[in-house]
Amino acid sequence: MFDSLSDRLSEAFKKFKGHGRLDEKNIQDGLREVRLALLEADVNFKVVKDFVDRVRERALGRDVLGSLTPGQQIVKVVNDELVELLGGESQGLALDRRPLRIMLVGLQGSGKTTSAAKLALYLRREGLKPYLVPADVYRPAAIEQIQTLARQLDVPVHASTPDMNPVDICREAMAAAHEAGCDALLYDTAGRLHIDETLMDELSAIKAACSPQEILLVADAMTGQDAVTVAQSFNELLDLTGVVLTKMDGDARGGAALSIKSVTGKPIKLVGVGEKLSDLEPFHPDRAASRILGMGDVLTLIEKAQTEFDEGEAEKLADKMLKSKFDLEDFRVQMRRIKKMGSIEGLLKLVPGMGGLVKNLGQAQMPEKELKRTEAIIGSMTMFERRNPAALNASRKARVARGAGVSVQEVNVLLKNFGRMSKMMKDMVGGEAKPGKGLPGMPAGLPGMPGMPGMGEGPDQGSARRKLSKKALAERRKKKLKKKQRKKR
Amino acid sequence: MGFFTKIKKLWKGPGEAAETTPAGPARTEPTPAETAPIQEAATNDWQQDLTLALRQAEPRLSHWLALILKDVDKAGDALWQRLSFLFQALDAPVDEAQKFIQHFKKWLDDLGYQNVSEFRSELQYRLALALDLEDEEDERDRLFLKLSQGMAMTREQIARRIDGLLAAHKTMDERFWEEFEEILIVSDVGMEAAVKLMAKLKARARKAQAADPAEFKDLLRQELEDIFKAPKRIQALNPPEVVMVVGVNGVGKTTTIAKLAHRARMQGRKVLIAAGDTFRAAAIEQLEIWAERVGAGLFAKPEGSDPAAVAFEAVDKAISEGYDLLLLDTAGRLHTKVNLMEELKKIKRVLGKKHPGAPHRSVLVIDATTGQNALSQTKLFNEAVGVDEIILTKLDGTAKGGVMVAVGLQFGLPVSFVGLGEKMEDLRPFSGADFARALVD
Ligand SMILES: Nc1nc2c(ncn2[C@@H]2O[C@H](COP(=O)(O)OP(=O)(O)O)[C@@H](O)[C@H]2O)c(=O)[nH]1
Ligand SMILES: Nc1nc2c(ncn2[C@@H]2O[C@H](COP(=O)(O)OP(=O)(O)O)[C@@H](O)[C@H]2O)c(=O)[nH]1
Ligand SMILES: [Mg+2]
Ligand SMILES: [Mg+2]
Repeated sequence: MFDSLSDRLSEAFKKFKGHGRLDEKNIQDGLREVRLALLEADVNFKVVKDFVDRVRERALGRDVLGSLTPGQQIVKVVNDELVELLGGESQGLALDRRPLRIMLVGLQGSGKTTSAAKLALYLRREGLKPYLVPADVYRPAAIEQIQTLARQLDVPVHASTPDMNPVDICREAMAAAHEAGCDALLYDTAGRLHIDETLMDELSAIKAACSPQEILLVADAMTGQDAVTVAQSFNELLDLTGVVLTKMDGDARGGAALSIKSVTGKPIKLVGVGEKLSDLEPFHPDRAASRILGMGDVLTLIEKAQTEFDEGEAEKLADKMLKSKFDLEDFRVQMRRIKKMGSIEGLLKLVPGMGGLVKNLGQAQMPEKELKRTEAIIGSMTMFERRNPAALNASRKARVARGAGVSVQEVNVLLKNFGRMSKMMKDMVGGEAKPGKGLPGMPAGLPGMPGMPGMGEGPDQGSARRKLSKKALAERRKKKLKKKQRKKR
Repeated sequence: MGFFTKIKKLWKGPGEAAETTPAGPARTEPTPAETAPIQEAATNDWQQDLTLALRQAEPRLSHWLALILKDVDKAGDALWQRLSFLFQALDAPVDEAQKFIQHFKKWLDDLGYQNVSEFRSELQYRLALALDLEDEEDERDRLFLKLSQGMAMTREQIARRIDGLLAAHKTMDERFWEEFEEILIVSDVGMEAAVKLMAKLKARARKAQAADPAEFKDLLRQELEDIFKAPKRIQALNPPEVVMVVGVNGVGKTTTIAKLAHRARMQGRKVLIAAGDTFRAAAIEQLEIWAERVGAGLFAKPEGSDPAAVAFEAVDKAISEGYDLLLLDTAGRLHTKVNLMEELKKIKRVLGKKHPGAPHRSVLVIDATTGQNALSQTKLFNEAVGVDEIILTKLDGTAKGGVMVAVGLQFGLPVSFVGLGEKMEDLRPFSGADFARALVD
């Protein structure tokens, strides 16, 4: 369903051979694809219309450069435009005033309470002393929820009870926070519909009573066309200062980000990427743009690999790679894991430029088959051979090939690719981590897949979210020690 | 099935009524019994009116309730007496009638409600379920009203646009369809489904030889009814019935479970809720409060327990304690998280092992505000645990839930209920016809 825009555009411009100028006529099909891609990503209809008009204006009359196909040219225009509309640079919270007051608002279930707790953790790391204020007296156990999260973080929480008035709670919390020696208040308000006048008035009253410096709309990344109406209503009433986009750890394309930014002009400041309290990140317009366009997101891929990947194991593996000790047995284990993570097809589609390849391979039957074959080959090796690939001489290779039911040549190809891959991995972990490259556990380049470049070799995706430098690894170990009670998901 | 083990349906005409005791209190003069002592004679009109009304051919609950609530503006003895009178007139067992009233009193207490305006709707909902009247014409109209109130914003916008569209076009030409496509997209139907839907509508128009936009509403209504035509699955099952509720984070699974439990309770079933979300902070406490409110049993283990173990032991409890219905809550999970989906499969396997046929239904909860991602949610949850039906929540906002058209076209899964608010009565059976009607009328 979600073919990447670049694949679609190359399809749309297939007839556009040679060099020339982009004009009203030959650009038509391409723009249609742009429109479709945006709508599929849930960008609001009107926003899409304006956007496509802007792209048309910017693209018209351009010469198609020798090095770029018309499709690529349009992708570039679209992407630049999108990044700009999404806010260009990432924009953080204003943290300078004391006491800092941040108010979270939004629809039911969008992630306000979780985000409040995440923010508490974030602010503490920034050197502030957060104070959580439960102001949802309606939803059953909403107060217990934030109290539990506060306990996990060891952050003080205001003593709200369900029979109190939310406006009073918020007002009184200021003195209480001061008393508790805290300088950053986080108001967790109840979810409400933007058309519920009584409850919307309550928010105005809280704002008036506390004058928060930040009023953040917490919005679900899976929201559809209605994101515009919701954001507009909250913004008109409260004059928001920004947006937190939650649940970006799924496969939602997050078109809501563009819709909200376009109609309110308010920046997306943070994104929620999981249920754990550390799963909060700054918003990167460039990343969001390529995600909206379905242009593949290596980072999503990495994330996916990571959920399957125990941290301790990651460390061991990284250590191994560092020492060039990553062997075929390790590789086999990783490969199994990939298979568990879902079809390779799904994974490949997340990688830039792979969408088309998947298609060429005939609905991705190939990679799965290749994977199986690779597994069979490694499976026919003895443990000694797996641990010491260099030991595989001609007679050993012949035996392995027979065992796996393949030709010796195929064994050779696998070994060659494996060698290339482990070198790449070593560079990646040991040397400075290059942006956009994979991560241990997600082997870059799958041996046995003819002509398939390393997965990490897609277009530059900006800096990788997690680089595994030695320092990071050490830090991780430390963190792991600290983290005791909470079970990992 | 209703709340009472027996009632006499006075409205069922003489033939059927003859089966029951001929000399029930309501058949004779409306003499109030010992349990409902006489009040001032002046207000006794309502008794006579109500007795008459109960004997009409059609049961009209809204009318009965109007009579009962005449001159009553607060909860109190007057109201309890009148309800007792109603139940007595219908020959309901006295202890059950008292139980109904006690439950309702407790609910009022819990929520601090006093005024009729605050609880009227809940009372009618309870009565409809308790007296098994939800399928009757009168209640269906009310359902529709509630559904269309919930979707008022939606309907207004779409209807206005469709009317505008119809007024602006003399024939269903290209421009007409283009504008209609826009309406669909704005409702989250999605491009692919919109194109499909329009192709079907065009075919329908051709077949009916309709070119006049005036006929368009009918065509659309028929088409939407078709898409949402759910096969009624009547299943013989070995009690307890086990229902597993799944969905992504924050869509309303827990609240929907409370609403489903409330319905079942009002239909006289013994309900156990299992707190299968052992992950989210205070998820168990949330369910505890709901179970208490709706009068359902709760099975829970400490936070962090294995959800499959919760499911397993809950079935044990449900069987040994003779529950009719077990509702299993699960933690919200994004459908793309493979390990969490594996966990769900395991829960399902465990249920089936413990109790053959369980879960009898797997319900996927989808938030009406969701855009195209609902397709991916449906696909992956369906692949993991086999979705039997969908419940669409939060239709009381301005979101149109149009993506359900796409889901309907692609997966053919029925939508059983819609959520129309945060209260436990805010759940209504979904019918494609009503949905279509609410959208275009
Ligand atoms: N996967 C994921 N789940 C989230 C994220 N943020 C919140 N949630 C989950 O969404 C659900 C609703 O969150 P909650 O904070 O209670 O929402 P509220 O009703 O707005 O306060 C919970 O299950 C959270 O764990 C996120 O960024 N990713
Ligand atoms: N407006 C509205 N809110 C709802 C509806 N159903 C649930 N909610 C709210 O959505 C939020 C999340 O619900 P919850 O049941 O905790 O979701 P879960 O995480 O899926 O279990 C709560 O604030 C509920 O009150 C509905 O039909 N309409
Ligand atoms: Mg909350
Ligand atoms: Mg829940």
